[in-house]
Amino acid sequence: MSGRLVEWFKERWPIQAVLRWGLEEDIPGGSRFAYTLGSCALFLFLVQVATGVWQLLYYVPSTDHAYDSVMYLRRQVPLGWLVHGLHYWGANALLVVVGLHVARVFLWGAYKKPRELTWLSGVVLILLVAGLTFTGALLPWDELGYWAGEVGTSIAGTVPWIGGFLERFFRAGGAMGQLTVARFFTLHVAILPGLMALLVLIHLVAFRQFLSVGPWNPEKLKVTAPFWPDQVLKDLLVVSLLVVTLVALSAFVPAPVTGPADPIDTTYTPKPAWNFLFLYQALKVFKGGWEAVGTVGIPLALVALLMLVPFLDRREERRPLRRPVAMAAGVLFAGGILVMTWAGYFSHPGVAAGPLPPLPQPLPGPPAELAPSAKRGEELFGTLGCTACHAVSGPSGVLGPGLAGEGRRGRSRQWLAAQIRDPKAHNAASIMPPYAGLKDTQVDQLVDYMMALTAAPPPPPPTGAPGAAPAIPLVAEGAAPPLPLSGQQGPPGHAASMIGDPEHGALLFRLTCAACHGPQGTDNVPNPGSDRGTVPPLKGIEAELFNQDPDVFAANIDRFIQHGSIPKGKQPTLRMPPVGVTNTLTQQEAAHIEAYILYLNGVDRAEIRRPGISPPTFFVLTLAAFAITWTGMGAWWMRLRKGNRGGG
Amino acid sequence: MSEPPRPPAANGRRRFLKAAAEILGGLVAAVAAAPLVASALGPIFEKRREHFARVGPVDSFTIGRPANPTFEYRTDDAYLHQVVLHDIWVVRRSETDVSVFSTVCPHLGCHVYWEEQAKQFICPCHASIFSIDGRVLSGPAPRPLDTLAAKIEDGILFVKWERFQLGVPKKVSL
Repeated sequence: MSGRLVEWFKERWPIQAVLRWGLEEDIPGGSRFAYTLGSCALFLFLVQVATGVWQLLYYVPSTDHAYDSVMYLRRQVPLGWLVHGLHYWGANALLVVVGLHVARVFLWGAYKKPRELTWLSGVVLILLVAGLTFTGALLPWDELGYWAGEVGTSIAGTVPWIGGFLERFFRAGGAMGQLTVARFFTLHVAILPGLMALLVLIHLVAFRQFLSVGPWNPEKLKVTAPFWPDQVLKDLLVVSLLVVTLVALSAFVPAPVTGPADPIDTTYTPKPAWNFLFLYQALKVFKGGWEAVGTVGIPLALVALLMLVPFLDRREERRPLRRPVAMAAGVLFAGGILVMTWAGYFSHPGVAAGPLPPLPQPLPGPPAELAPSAKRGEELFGTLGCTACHAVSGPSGVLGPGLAGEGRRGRSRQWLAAQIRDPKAHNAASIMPPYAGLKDTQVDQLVDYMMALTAAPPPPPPTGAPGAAPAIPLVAEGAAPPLPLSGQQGPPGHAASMIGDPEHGALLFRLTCAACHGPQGTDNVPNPGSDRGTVPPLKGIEAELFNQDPDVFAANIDRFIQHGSIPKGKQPTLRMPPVGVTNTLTQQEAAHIEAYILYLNGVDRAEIRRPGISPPTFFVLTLAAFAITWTGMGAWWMRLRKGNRGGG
Repeated sequence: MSEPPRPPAANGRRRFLKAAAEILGGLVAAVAAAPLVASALGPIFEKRREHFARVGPVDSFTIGRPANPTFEYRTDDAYLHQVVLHDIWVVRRSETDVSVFSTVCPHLGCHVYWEEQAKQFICPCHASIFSIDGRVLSGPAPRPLDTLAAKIEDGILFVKWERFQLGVPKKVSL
């Protein structure tokens, strides 16, 4: 029956001719592991297609759902982590394999006549892979992808004459937004893969037309081996290693979680993906009018150089040692890109553009000794908890403005006294608690202390990071809502359901929360007037807030971050301000901080909720399956060789 | 093997058939391409209609010290209508003299921050440095920090949020 069915098909479609075309090929010089790279690239392309299409079952190409939909796939869909992981690591592996493939072809001189078109279609394929990694990175609409897209499309904007058009074309308008996501999505899932499939076909047809070039030593060309099964088995051996590697990477090194895109997050410093680092580094060399050389000139020159290879090197000679110029150029080309990538990897953003200009001369230091009244004011400043929000010896960057140099700011004593007694007198939206209960002498002492603060702030930490930038606005929009009592906060906000990045959260925590909660969240900062006497610890958090379930835990904390709280007690000095509902923090920033607090308590915000099979188990099963198969095949092969020797 | 000569009439007929097929095919392709090109390019030249949004009381900004307030802004992003947050750098020079700078670096769009000790705006990406009045002091930025239209009504600061083309010396509204 099946035989008749096959015959029926054969009469109507040239199965055999297609199979012959695909598999029957004599490889000059025999099969080799060096020739497996092209097949590996093809395999990885197919993995990208399959895992890419499968992600479409969950992905939503919109600015308000893209990130959440990707995180849903990664956390809530059985083996979704693997679909995503294979796509992420498959893309990285494809870049590496393509690079090695180009190097191999170059070394063998396999681009020479009549294989120029095979080479050219390969160069176009490299560009398509670069385009796919660029467009794909934006799609999760996370910090990494958003900023890579923002900077990448801006780079397109620096192209002479047509830059403005290109930038608008890629963004579908002036600014990054919904239509940008839709555009990158269409490019990534339809246009570029379609072109890639076409180019792969052209590449393969050209390759099949002229077959492998074989070893450069003519002596070795006398023997041949068939593509099927000799070379195919070697290809599959390498591919199986690749599969095990991809599964291992997906299981143990998941794609980074950088948090939802936040266009106004001042603390995120964008850096491109590793495969664009060499361009990033090149960009730092060219400034001003020369900028276009870095953004457009170098990439175009590199591509042009690659395209011209078969036309510049037209001699028939293929032996590497007899092609010193080509080899030197190749080493320079690859070495240059590797060195630039290396330098870009270690360069601190911005730093390579040169040292900062000299800082202004420091102003005269503080008076050696405070007057007795100011000294008393200094003590009050500490015991009243002012230090929790106001820095007196550093830049602002905590909840209140820094008070270093307050005495030189030209404010009157009356102004300062009024600010202490009733902050809302100067700013209706101030979140500073009123100190109306202080005696006049105490207020005078505090004012004396502030008037004595004439020193310049000390230097900020010696990094290029925006450590000194206050993430907190001086005012919150509109009238401040009344603070809820502890435990009576309103519902969690959007931040509770966003998966933040604990590392970024640590930075935001230092800038925003550390003043009251201490740098580690464990510092028992005094809070006079509260029942507890100190600010509750965030590491080893109260049992009623803790939850092993990261979604519940984050929601518990989010209610405090959104709405603030007044600790239990007669008159607590420190109160948690409502940094969420007042837009003091963006929801994305709140999500990062929540991820950090979860991390402090041993809970992973990005934990996979429904893995299907746990990542380590899946890896062990994969490895075991391949190990058994490899061992069995090895034993069979050894027996065969022994048998051959015995028989011969 | 040469082709047998065709009669002149057949030659003319064949020429017509070829030319007609090419013209008709070209027209079909052109009509099919028109909506594709127009719909892909159309929206990219549309300017977003921007409006003034309330930032906060002018008095809340300390004279001589840049502040980085966040404010709510209603956006119409194609078919998404949302309230988003924007932030700006506000530099208040006197009671009534207020400059508002975009936080977007005019080089390649990273977020500039204020370095309090050096009294400079700094872009973390490629180390462009700007003075308090937005002038470029060093780095690759091709133009000063972009100022945003601002107005003060009844002591409240209103700002029109806008984006400008990056990486070019001229400030071109997008």
